[in-house]
Amino acid sequence: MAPGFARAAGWVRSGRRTTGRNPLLIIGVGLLLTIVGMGIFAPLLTPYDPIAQSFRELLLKPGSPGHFFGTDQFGRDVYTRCLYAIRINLVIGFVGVFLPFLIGVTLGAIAGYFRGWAETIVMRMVDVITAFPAYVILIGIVAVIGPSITNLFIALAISGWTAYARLIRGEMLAIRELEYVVAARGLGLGDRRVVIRHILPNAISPAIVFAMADIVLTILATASLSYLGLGVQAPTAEWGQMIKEGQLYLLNAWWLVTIPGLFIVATGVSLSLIGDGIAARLRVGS
Amino acid sequence: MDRTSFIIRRLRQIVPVVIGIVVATFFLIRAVPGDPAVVILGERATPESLASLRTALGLDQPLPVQFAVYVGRIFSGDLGTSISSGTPVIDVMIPRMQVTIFLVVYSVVLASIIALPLATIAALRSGGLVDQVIRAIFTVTMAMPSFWIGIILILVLSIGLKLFPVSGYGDNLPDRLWHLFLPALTTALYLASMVIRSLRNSFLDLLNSEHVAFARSQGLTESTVFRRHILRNGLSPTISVLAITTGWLIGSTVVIETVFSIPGAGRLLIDSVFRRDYPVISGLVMLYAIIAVTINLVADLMYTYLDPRVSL
Repeated sequence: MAPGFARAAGWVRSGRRTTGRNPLLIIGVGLLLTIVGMGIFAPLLTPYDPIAQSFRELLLKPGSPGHFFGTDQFGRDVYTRCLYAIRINLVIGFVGVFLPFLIGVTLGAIAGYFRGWAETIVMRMVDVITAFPAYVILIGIVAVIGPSITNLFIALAISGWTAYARLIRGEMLAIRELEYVVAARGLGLGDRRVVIRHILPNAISPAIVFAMADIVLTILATASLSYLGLGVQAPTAEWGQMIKEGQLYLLNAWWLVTIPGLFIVATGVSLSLIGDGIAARLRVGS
Repeated sequence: MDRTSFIIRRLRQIVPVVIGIVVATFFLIRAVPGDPAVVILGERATPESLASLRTALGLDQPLPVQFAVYVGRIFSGDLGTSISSGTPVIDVMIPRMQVTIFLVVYSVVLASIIALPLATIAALRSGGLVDQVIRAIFTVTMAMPSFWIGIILILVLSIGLKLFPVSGYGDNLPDRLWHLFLPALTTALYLASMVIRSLRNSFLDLLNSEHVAFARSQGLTESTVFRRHILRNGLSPTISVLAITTGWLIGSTVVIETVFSIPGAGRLLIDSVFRRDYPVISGLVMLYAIIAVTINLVADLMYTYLDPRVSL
């Protein structure tokens, strides 16, 4: 897999020379780096603990001394909790996409290259899994194996790999018949080497573009499941979980739902801008 | 390929998917780690009650027998009995799913009302200010969690301006439309974003096409050209976008129904997960999938009528 990624990354780099600077991409990268930095350096950016409760400071309004995003029903600083949540939400977003990407690319490559019964089995599985609406299958899996972060990854992997398998299989079908692939096979190279070294690097860019959009979808799905009580559990600071608890205090504490949501939107917009930028570059590269 | 053979072929593609859905929901309860009966009734349940629940769920038979019984029951419309209420799953599900379908149809209508004029403006003045703003709103909407938009709408329009009820379902049709306006609007925003993008692009392609140039050269007015030659042709690719999105929309109502406390199938699904009512969970998961598959099928068939050239 490594050479394929390196080649695809090189493709992104070579695109840069021809397209020049994309201001939206730069804004996206800047925004994402700021958010990631806020997550990494959270202990330096806030003196409070995200979980420790402080019953003398319940539901303080934003702008209160020392709590410029206010505090929640347990007196926890909302800003602090949002910062620590960056760690968990972004990690789930990226890791939660990596596993489906790996499974989908592998199975899609097998289906598109070897065809026959392998293709039939993989594509039938894809058809069945995609028949279920995304949230329904996620909730169904979590209902069976129970809500936890590990199980969230399992649910995301089972439901998420199908899009990558479809994309890669489609590319493989087109590329496997090209002359250079026939030549590589004619030279007596093994199937594994032909697929990994010669086909995948040229087949992977749509999957990379989709993965960028998928990170946003995964972050939204994680927040939604946590909001429903089926994802990250209290008292861990997680945006969806914070909004779930905040909705109970909607009448007198608007900031409890608004602020974590703004963090989600900022993260999502930054990743979307980066995704669009990469998509534009890969199009130029090809 | 003519239409009839296309339809037959499309129906044949459905069969393995439906079999897969049935197999997947069959294994749903059987994939519960440990003994499902213990998971449902708790560690302190008596051996007799565990045994009777296993019998009720059909878990005391060999697996192939269980599957045969399961499939047989599905064909007679029996999806088992709800553990929490003791009523047949199908009777619990159907009224709730009617609420959800009402919400989905309402969202699709709202989304169309939002999308059609905006897509038209964006295409006619492509690259203009409105087009740019619509594109920016699309990017931001896609990054917003639907449950959060719902809560923000409640905060601003229900609590702040007191225009709409905070939650609930309503008793008669006008009341229901009023109660469900915010939830329908929430999902419609996503749907509209996607539909606008698709419609704008197909309108734009058509505006630059030769047959539209020919229609104009005949001296037809712009509005006649738009109605006769762009609107109808531009709508058909959007139908498939709408269908794919509606499949997704049905799933997202699970979250929206929780935000607005709507007694739909999604709320039932979440409640059943917390009650460990596995017969209801697997029944609902199956029903959602069957509905999504049906919508996609209907959309494909509509597509062949709107665009007779289509062949797959």
